[in-house]
Amino acid sequence: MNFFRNRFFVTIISLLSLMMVIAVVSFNLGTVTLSPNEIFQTIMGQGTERSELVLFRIRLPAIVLAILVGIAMALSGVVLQAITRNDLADPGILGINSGAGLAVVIYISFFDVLSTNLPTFGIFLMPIIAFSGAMITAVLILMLSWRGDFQSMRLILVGIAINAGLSAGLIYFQLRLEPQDFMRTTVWLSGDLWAAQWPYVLAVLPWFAVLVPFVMFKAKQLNILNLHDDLARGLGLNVNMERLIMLFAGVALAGIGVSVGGGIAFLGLIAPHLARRMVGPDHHFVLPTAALVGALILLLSDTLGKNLLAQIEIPAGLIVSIISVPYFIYLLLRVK
Amino acid sequence: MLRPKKNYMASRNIKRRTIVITLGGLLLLVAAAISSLQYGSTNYSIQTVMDVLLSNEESGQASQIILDIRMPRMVVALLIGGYLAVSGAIMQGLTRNALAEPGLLGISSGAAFVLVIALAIVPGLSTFGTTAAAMLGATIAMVLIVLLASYVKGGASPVKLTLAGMAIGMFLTSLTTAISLYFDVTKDMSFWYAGSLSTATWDDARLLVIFGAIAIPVLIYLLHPLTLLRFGEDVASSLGVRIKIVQLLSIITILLLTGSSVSVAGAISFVGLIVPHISKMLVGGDFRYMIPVSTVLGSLLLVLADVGSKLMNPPFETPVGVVTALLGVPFFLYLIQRKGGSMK
Repeated sequence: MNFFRNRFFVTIISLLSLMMVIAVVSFNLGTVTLSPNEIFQTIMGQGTERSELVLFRIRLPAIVLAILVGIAMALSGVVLQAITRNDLADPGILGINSGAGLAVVIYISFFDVLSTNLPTFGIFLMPIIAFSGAMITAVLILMLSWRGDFQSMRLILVGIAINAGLSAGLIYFQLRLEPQDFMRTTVWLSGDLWAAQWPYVLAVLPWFAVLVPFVMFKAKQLNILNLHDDLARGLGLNVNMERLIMLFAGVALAGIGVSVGGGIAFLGLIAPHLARRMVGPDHHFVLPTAALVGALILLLSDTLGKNLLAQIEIPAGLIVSIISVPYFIYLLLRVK
Repeated sequence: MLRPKKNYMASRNIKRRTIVITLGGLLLLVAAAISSLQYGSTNYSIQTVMDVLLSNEESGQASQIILDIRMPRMVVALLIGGYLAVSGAIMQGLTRNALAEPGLLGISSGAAFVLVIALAIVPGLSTFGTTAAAMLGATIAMVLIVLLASYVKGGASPVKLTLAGMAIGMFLTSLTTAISLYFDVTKDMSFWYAGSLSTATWDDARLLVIFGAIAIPVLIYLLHPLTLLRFGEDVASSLGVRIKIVQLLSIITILLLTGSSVSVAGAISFVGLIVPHISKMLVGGDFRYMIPVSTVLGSLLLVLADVGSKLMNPPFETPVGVVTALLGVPFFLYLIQRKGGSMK
């Protein structure tokens, strides 16, 4: 136990420092560059007006958003994998992202909010709409895959089917949009962390403030749920109730993440796997580690996507997929 | 070959049933084809369609629309429907996997991937270039999937194959989206993902016919070995089936049929999944009976889906891939429900 604990602290500290490095590097890149020295000065309140604008109004919200969405997706993945006892569960694969995405695209196409700007009310409504979409999808998947018991492979297949149906629905609504809105929703759906402005970040912050600690405190329950049902019951857990609550939390996290970050697939899959490799299977350690790994990967992908090509920004979600799929296939080959 | 009498009777029954179903399907297909000529941005009565078809005069707006726009589109739908259904049937037989389907396994994503690169390099690509690019992409994705399936420990189960296909599809789609964003061809590409017949021309129909003509002799040769392959590779090879050759020829056939379909109409998923299953329910798993039935039913399904795509949301066209997905998803769910236990 001590071994894992020490390892956990080392891992957390190295992840945090890596994240700092990437944050500083991403400050340094882009059309307006800031040197580490300038960054330090600006944080101490001695920067120029220009550097303050760039740092606090443009770069910082983007970084905070990447970290938040990364945490949300990773934790959602941990929770879904634990309660389905399936290593391949991920909000993107199960179609929960598409559900949230579809709800938002319907909202956009009916209320025409993209071509005009979002009103303040709309900013706060977006997470709720995405969350409802995600929740409806999750309930649908559960209902269709429930047959007296909980077979996790059936769950995944049902998820794939639902995902295919929702993607068709997405295309249907997207093609009804104006061409420029079409572009924007395509970019949005591939996960480009579009909401990198303070109002959006503040709009989702309360959700994070509730959900992230809640999930973190449930580490013990997740450990037990990961065992066989009978064993979990024997240990005094109301299995179905607990599973439902955790499902609610996991889906909510994914929905909120999608509402500000777009559909980022595979992050919820690989972050928990990498975390387990680093600190072992105990959820007390896995949850914080996975959260940091998720934040790190998304921050890295966002930085890469913004600076890889000069003319355009590649949505961070695409970079995440391109990085993660080989790992996913490796897992597929290994997992029995 | 010695056969018990009862079995012999059953086989005769199936033969008769196949003929009846095929003929009935063809009749329905004619009706569907005529209604596909009728409906669109302007609707014509059956009388008008018949007049145009029978008199063959090349003047007047009605005859122009019917003969030059709707006719090629209907023919293309008919051919692609059949091709996709046959590809699905072969794929399911080859992998002995109830969920195998060209659309779900990321083959269309592969075609789109190479196509977007080709479009980015050469903006005004000719029909031949598009086809070549799409075929190349389909081949790459197919090879990836086959390689993956053969490396999986303990054989590729339906779930794993589906997941692998999905992952490869998402991977290629991500790359495609990134490239198409860079070269600003997003909306062109999205039509590909949803599958569309609205731009079909006689050139497309000709192309499909050529590819089909190459595939048909191979297909006929494959009917018997594929039927034997249902009983497992050991049984089939002891009955004289040369497994490797059959596998290779099957893959080539799938590529010819799927590749040409994708290059004309983009990703139309679920036809290759639904139709072979229904055919199997109707006439059993013998490919000599199942393939003709699948072809007819596939054509019927896609022609009807195309009519649906025109009527769902007028005056806009719904991509036909959306219509087939609407039909296919419930069917897919039903398959999972029924075979859930045996799919691990």
